[in-house]
Amino acid sequence: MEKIKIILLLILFPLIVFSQENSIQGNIADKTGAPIPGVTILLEGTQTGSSSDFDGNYIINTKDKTEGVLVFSYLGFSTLRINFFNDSKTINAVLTESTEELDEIVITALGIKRDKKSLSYSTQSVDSEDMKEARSTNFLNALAGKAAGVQVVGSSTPTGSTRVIIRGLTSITGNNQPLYIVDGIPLDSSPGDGGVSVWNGGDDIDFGSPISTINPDDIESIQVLKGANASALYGSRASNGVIIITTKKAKNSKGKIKVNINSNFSVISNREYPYYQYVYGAGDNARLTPNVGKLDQTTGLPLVGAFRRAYGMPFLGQQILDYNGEVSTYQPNVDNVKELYKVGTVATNTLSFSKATEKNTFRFSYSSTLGDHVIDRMERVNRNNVAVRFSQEISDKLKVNTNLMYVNQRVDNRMYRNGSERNPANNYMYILPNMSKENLFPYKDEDNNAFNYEGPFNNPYWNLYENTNQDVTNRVVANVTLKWDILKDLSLKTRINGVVNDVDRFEFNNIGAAYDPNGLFREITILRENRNYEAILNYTKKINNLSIVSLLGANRFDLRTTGTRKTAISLLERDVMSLSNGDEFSPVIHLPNNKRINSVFGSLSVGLDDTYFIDVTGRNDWSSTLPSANNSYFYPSIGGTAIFTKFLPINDILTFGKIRASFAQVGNDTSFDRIINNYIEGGNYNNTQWLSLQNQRKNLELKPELTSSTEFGIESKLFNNRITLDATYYKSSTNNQIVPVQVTPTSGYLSKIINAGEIQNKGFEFFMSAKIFDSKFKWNTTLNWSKNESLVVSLADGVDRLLLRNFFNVGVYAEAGETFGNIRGNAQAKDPETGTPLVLPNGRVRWDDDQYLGNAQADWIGSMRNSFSYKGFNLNVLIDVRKGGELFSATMIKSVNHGMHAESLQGREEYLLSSLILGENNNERQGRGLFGNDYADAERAKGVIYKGAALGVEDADGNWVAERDDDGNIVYSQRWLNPQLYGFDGVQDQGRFVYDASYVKLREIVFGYTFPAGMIKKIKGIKNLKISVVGRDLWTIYRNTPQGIDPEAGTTSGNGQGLEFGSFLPTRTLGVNLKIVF
Amino acid sequence: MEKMNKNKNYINLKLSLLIILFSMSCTNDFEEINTNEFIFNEASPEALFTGVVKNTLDLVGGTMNDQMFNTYASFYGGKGGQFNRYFYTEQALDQFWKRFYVNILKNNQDIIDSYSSDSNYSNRVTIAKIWKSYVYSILVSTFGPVPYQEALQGKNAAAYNSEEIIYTDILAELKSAFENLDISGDTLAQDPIFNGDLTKWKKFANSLRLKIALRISEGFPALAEQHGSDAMANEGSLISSNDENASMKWGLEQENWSFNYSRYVFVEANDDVVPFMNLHFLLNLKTYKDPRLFKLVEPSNDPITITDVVFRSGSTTEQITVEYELPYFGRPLGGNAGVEGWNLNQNDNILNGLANRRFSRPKLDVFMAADMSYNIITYSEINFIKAEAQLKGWGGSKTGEEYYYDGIEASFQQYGATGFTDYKNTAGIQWGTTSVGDRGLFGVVTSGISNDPIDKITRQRWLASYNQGHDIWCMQKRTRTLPLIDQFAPDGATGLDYAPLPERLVYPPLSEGGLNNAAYQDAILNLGGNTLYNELQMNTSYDPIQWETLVPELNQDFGTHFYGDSEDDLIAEGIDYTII
Repeated sequence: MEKIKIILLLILFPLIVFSQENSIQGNIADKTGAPIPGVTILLEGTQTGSSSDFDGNYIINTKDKTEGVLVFSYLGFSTLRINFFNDSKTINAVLTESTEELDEIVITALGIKRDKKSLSYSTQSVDSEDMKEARSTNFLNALAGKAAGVQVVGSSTPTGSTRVIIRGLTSITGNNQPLYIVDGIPLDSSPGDGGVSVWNGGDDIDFGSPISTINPDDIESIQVLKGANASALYGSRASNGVIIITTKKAKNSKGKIKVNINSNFSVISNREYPYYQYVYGAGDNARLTPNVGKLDQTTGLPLVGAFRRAYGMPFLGQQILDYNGEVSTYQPNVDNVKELYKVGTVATNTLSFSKATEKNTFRFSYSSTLGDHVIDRMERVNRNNVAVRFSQEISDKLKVNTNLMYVNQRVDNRMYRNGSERNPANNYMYILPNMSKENLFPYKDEDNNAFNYEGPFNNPYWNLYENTNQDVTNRVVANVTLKWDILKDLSLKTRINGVVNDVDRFEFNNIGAAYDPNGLFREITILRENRNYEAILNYTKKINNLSIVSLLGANRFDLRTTGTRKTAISLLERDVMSLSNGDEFSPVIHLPNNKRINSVFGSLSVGLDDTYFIDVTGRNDWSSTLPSANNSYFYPSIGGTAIFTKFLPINDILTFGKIRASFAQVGNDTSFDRIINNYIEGGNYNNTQWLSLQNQRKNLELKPELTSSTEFGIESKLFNNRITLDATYYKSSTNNQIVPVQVTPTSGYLSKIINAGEIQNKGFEFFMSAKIFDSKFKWNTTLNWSKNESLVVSLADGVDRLLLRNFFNVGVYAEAGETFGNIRGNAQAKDPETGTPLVLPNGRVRWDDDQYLGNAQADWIGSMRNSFSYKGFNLNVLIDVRKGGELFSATMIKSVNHGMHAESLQGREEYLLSSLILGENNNERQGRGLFGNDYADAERAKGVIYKGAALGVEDADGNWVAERDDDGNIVYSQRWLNPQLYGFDGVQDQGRFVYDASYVKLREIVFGYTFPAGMIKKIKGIKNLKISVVGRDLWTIYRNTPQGIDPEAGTTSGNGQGLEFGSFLPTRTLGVNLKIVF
Repeated sequence: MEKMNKNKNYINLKLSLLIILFSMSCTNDFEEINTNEFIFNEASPEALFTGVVKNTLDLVGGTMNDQMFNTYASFYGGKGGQFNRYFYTEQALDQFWKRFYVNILKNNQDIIDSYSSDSNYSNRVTIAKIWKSYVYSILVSTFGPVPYQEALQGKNAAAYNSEEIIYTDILAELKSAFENLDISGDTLAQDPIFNGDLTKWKKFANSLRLKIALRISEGFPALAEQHGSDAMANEGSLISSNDENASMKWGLEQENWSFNYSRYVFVEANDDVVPFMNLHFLLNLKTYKDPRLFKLVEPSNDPITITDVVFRSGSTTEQITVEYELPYFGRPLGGNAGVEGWNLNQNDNILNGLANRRFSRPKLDVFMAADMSYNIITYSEINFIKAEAQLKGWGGSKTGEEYYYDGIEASFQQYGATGFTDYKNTAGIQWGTTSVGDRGLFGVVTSGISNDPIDKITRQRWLASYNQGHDIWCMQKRTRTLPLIDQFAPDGATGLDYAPLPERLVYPPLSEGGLNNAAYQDAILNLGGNTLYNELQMNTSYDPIQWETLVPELNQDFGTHFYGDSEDDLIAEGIDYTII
């Protein structure tokens, strides 16, 4: 904290020096006289630029130039050049709609602004306006559907980790999330769910990605650098692509203070509930009293609490002894799931001030986010964001730019995830139809101990009211950039920036839980600092028809993390949330993570005739994480562009067209401490400390990873820029992957770190935007579409697959020669010749293990955004689509296994008739009558049957085949099963619970009204007023997963996708947003 | 202006600093930056060995004993779970494999690899070698051929070695350990087994060699005899009192709690999963009025009421029918229903529909204690081993009969039970006598004992080795003498109506099939498959019982006459009974 304070002081009291210089101002309008905001104004031959404000006004600093040219450019309009002279103080410009090419300035690697047409690789701007209105507590979630080739899987809780993947996976086991650069500062993107297990790992809280706490109101623009080609200059950390976020800077307000207010209030509610059955209650084999053990000895009534499954009797109002020990009736409670939930709310308020003159700009913003979620007490967020940005021209050659972002966030009671017994959603998987909030209360006895239930069910109310966790994050992001124009074409930029992230967490489980009677208190503190020191020399020159943009730079990146994790595994007193309440402690775990990367880099772009461009870059990194012999690595990139419309006659169809091609390499290092094996503390065994060899074999010969990527693209604008079409094909492969591969335990290790394997991504990205109507009524459509295939070309020698994540024996694997993310598990055995499914003699499933069940990767993803506006009204609708890929739902296995899900109703009536009313036994249901005869009534349904299945018999070669009669015809089985056993069979017949994960979702909707200037003029000081009704994740238009299971559900934001267990119910957010500008 | 110059100077300074930084000291601090200061570069043999023992205890004496061995040995009855119901889960197999090779054997091997060259550590290295032999003896008798010679070297693939190669090697290792341990040399400063007593380590090495030799005496008679007779020749260096028993002990801190305590006592587990006494094991105690019964068995809090026919008080002819509560009775292995096809009338079955809590559990303060012990070899056990060795002609100073009685007496002493003399003179127990015994629940298996010395020795070794599930499983696979029933309620996944005792455990298909596949496939080929029923060479072939062909009869013999056969016995014991 001390460090943060010092940095705060340093940044908040900068030396502000005001001075006057030449400037030009004016207004920019179209032919009709309507002002055009956002026009880029460039002082030709320099890097100096400005842009027009909402009213079309601009001001640009012309420095010491007494004459020159101002270049006005804006998408869809012809670029206009206007000469100015010493006496020009005001220049108004009228832009005409373009019929020729456009100059679109985009931000590229290292913050370099480039003319988009000169780029040899693909980059895409993300519209950040909608995300400021249709807000998500988690900023990253709002990136979904915004750019082609960017796959976003939203976090399952408002504060959880989001999965953002650009152009597929480059690392088999490592972090594949992109690098986030905010105003030149690389931010930590590692997800906070690294410790979250599939099944009750004991550390199952997701702490979210640090980047997700950014306030969208501070964002000016978002640029996605998709491939290695675009990001090569960023080096090691950029091999998964880069998302460049530029924050808002004050725009020229002629010295006036401009005030912006954005207020948003949203409600979050469950979008859907699982389809549970309320016909049969707790019990076994269609009975409520299978033996005396399930009867209360005093009253003689059935003990409903003695059952873990809902395979009992139909609800007929029988008398029972209820969960709370009271005599009650056996009846369903159709609201038993719903009554856990409530409506969550989020209020976000942002206030910003900005002021700019020609020499300096200042912007301050403060934002407060207060929210909770759909379950009482859970996920309470209190976040404060402060952003300060300040720039000053110290002299005509020296400019300083500082920015500071401060985030203070406190989250109470993040939800435990997945299979954790502390996760209420996991508890709800096992809730019996006759359970209700009423009979689950009280959840503890007079001694404050939780009531025990049969089986895996834990009372969710215990978890809600007796467990607490909290984390407080203080993060400071600070940056000082100095730019020195040494010569006319030569400038030096130095930058020092740092991110200090200080996290304090605790986790408290009260004494008395059924799963941990002693309670637990855990305290984690992490201080993570990363610093960058950078110097870049820029040289820009235009000689005749030749233009040169070049740079040379050096960077040092330092990461230092210290942290501890202290756990009291047993507590002395109830309710006391402190380490000093510990009775017994586990060893203190230290969490070091240190790294230094030194780099030098350079780049050169040469343009000829504004038609041909060539880009060359090179970078050499030295990383502390690699062994000394291999810690220096160089990688280049080269690309070329040609604007082919230059050779075509000017026409009305193809306004602009270019083709581009590039090849790039990016090297990558590894993480901390992966070179030499050491010993870790094992524990204390009867007063002796013991150590144990690290079970991952480290490697003294590691080499850096290398991603090579080639891409081709075409960009075009049609019908006078009414339609924009971009298409890119790319292929990349990452070699020498540094992967911890599992090894046979007989080696003495569980895994070893090696350079091995190759992962290949190839894909196609397509972007289209069209102005369908462009008059008073405007209708714009944007389409993003991408298809990526991540192929595991090879793994290590002797290793043909790697397990990424598993739910018991259902695993997600990387398999050599296969598409990444194969889901494997048990599946019903089939006759090899005919494919007839096989059963055991008792009618249950015969299965084969390790069968291919599906693949987690999507075939393609896409999105369509339509925006309509008429007068003051606007309507923006974003639809997000995913096609293909599979999801294994362990929630379904469990809820069917336990008889909760309506899917378990199959055959119950028939079984009830057979077993309870007619009293038939298993033999008879399996078709065997007395004395070895066939049972007479074989055809009548007596339960569930595997349709079209035959008895599996072993043939001469020991293979299982379908039973055949003397003529070789398959004898179909007539073995009727107890539906409960059919439910149990799901554990082996896992293919039953693999679903197509395709979806079409209504992701984002904004319906707004901007009050006309005339109307608001009456309210003093208000310049702009907009009110909107907004929504997120409103409707799943299409999907194939069962209700309540989101096709996007998973157990991690990491690489083991395609498994779901105990996931939260899908939610929707609805809100109103008010925007005021003073 | 001045300010500006200052700034310029500052920038110049910074620029030059940056240049120096990159050209001069690019990678100087890298090693330091990449070093984790919170872990250890070195580990003493004590620090490693303590962890090795703890991990061995938790796996062999904890998880595996609970999940299968204690059921395979018919110590537990009716316990659920795939392994206990004669099946398995691949994930658990994987875990066993990892714990054996990575947590236990690799750390143990690290002692040998790191300290062999230093003579100051020679005894400690030898102790690690003894432990290696012990752990491999469990692996090879549980799975069959396993990776041995190529294992623990960080190799991507390790071939499986035959049982013969492994046994030959570990027996030779034990022999040389016995010979090389220097009583006056270095020892473990912290020794979790023998508190640094090298004499006990020496005796352990010799006793373990004899025990393994006997275990393989049917499969590899020559090898067994070679080592067995050599160990017997050093009889003075075999465990010779209960003080010298080799055992591992859990502790009172939560991290050292026994498997049973943390699973079945601390977290109050429901009655369906806690271990219960096996009906046939208890029957063999009850029939012979074994005083150890009260040391081994926890009476049920909620006993069943049994109907018994006894002589009226003072009479030896007149019989009366009485009812009384019986807190000592076990749970059958495969549930209460028997085998499908018997079609027993469950109305006659006293156990039908009985709540699980009504069965007797193993003595809580012995077998469910937080700091309970798990025995590796006991004095009583070594006596029974010597008895068999003697009968095989491997030598020995006493007769088989004398060893047999010594073993029983040692067991009584071990449990603090009195009444040894009465017990040893009971028909069936006494050398050379026979007994009919009592019938089990279904009447097809009894507690009768034949005249065959092996029948007597193995029966007593079973009774004396409670909770040493693996040892008794191995003994039964070799001798096939214990009167056990099969698993009548096997896991649904087996598709079987009943399942005989597994011959071995399945190689983990996930980690081995996935990560050591060529060697794994070879091993399966050599073994003829990878099921629970591929016979190991150390096992004796036998014809499994066709249970459905037997004629069962439901009865209460397992409980009747518990206190004696007359009303006077009930009065003497203070039993509350009703005459009906």
